[in-house]
Amino acid sequence: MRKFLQRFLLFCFIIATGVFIVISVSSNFINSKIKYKLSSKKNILILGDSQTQCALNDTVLENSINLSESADTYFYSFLKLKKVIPRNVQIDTLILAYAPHNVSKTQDNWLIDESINEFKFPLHYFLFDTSDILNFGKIAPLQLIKNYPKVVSKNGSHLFRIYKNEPINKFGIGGYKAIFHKLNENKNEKPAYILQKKQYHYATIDLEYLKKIYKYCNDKNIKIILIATPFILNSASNEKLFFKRYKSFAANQLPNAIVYDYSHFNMDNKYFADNVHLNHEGAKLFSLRIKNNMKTKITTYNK
Amino acid sequence: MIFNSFNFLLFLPIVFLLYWFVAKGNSKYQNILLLVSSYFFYASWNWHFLFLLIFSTVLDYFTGIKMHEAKTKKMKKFWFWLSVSINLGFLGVFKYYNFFVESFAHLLSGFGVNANFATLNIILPVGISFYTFHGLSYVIDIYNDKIKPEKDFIDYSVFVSFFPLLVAGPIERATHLLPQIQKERFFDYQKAVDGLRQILWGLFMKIVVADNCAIVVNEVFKNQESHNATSLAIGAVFFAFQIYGDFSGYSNIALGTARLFGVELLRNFAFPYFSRDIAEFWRRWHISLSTWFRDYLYIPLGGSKGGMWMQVRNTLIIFIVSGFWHGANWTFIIWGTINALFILPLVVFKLNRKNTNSVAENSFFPSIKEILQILLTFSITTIAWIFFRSASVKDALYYIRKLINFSNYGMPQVDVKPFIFIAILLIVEWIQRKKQHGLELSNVNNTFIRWIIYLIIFIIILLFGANSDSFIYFQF
Repeated sequence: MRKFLQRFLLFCFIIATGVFIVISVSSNFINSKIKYKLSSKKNILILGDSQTQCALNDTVLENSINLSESADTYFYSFLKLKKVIPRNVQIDTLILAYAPHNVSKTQDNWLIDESINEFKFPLHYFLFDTSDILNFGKIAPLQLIKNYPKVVSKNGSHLFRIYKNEPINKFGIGGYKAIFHKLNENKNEKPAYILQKKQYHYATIDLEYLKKIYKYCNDKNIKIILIATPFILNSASNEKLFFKRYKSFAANQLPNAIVYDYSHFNMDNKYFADNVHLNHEGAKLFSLRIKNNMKTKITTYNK
Repeated sequence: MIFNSFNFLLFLPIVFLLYWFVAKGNSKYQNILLLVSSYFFYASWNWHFLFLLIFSTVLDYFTGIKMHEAKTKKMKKFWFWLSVSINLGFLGVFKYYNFFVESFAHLLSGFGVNANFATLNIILPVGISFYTFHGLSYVIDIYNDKIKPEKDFIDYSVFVSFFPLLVAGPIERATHLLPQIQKERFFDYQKAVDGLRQILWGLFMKIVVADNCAIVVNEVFKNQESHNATSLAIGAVFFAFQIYGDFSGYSNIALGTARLFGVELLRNFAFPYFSRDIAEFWRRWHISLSTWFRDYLYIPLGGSKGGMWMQVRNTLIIFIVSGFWHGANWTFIIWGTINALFILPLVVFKLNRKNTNSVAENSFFPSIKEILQILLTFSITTIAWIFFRSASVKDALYYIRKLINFSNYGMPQVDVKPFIFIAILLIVEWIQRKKQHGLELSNVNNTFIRWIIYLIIFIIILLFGANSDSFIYFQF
């Protein structure tokens, strides 16, 4: 038995050490080779979750790069921000997803959610520095341990992308996503954007990262635009209450940020893929709207 | 808690250490520990169904003793049928009620009668088909005076609930497993190491082969109308390897895990895709179920004793029942029937036991004839698998119709990367075809080489492993 345990533990130690070395070396290599440096014309960075990912087409908003990704919390947006900004001094504006659900408790749950972390953590791991790993370890220790070995596979995919000389928005960590179907083509769609009661509470952990993003941008004189993309809303009172609250959060906690609240923006249903995401046509229209808005003096919309 | 989950990675070492250090030297403590662990393992799915498992265990334990103690044959029969009917009753309600109700309503509608029977919103208890068959084999063996009832309730409960086999088999026999549970187990280094190897091979089969194939299979079977025939053919082949990697992988992990506890379970797979005819395939595929049906259905029905037509009838029955055992859907019944139709010519012409040895027994490479036989057998089983995988018979027929329309062939529209993993699987299994499992390295004496092999498999799993939520056979 002793021999068995000794050998088994030795084997596990070799595997664990090997995995650690492979991940550390490959992550550093990816960071050194990935094209964080963008075109000098790109002065707007777009971050957030699937709403901004689908609504803001960075080929329409030519001077921007959209690195939003489905189910991104502010934690992950902060990781990207820290990597992209130092290499791109020309970036003077950050457009960040900011809808009621982005500040709700759901975001904290997403940070520890098993199915979300299963794909998100290994995919984004190369963006983590030591302090981020420690912070993530405090937030979701089990997810860190469970998903750490999977980084090997994802880093392998990233290395392949580096070999193919692909741009940063092809690494699966964010990029504009075009949806071509229209609302109601999927019968299982919910009829409107509705927050569940449990979502009424503010996030705690993830909002700390929103504040970090805010501070980081303020320190670097980067303008922050908090944006709520168009939703299909119904007359339910629940979201009205929360819409008020989330706007007051921005006003109180992020006073220098500009809020673009397009959640009630009047767009035809044909421009929606579902109740919360614009389709490709909708994104084109909406991106043009934002582009025009930014050409003129930036003002808050519907504040 | 599935075998390839983080939770199992924590659960297994804890139980292992408690078993060999705390409960060491006392079979009673070992069995209590195994029982508690097994119930915990089962409850991690849905603790409500734990009561069903315990009830089934108590029922068979109690009726087993009552049958043995019965003074008259009539009483013995009474306890026997009580157990069988309750066991099958549970299985019927949980697994087949909705199927029968819907099929009956459909039949009536054919006669112009519109019947609306209430269907139940039932969740199928995981592993019910497996532990019910465990219990049934025990009860039938007692009834036939093949074994005596187990008096120790803990021992009997471990026989039914032993966690490596609880949710997807192998379907054990009391004559094989109970004696191992009754005696004290001692740690066997070679057995434990080989168990770990078997687990590693099982993980490769599941995570690398089955789960990568599953990505393509799910896409192809879900959107078959938008794929060309080449993609459908690839989808069908991938499903053949998905289900093999999934179920054989699971069985390898189950057998390997059991060996860590000093228990040998029945072998469930013996490299079935190297079979040279369909009869050989069924001697190598899901062996514990095939032999269960042979011993408890085919032989009691008369087997081959009543002449050719009796044998044909009985073969047809066990394949249809076997299909039905897999699930309450016509697709499974047709899958079973197709397999029966493929095997019947061999039965009629007495060719079903032609290939009882290992393929290419005296050489490394197979002959051309053997290659053709293997390919033909694989093609036949793959066609049958289309019914097994499809959501409905209509879907399966559409799939096959599209597959045989040669104008539909073109460049594949799906990822063909899983072929690489399938090739690795087949090469390794071919080399190891006379062994118990793909990673049995008893003939590799050099420790360094063995460890390199383990590391390579680990790296492949880490690099190319895909994700899945479960094993296919858990639903049965």
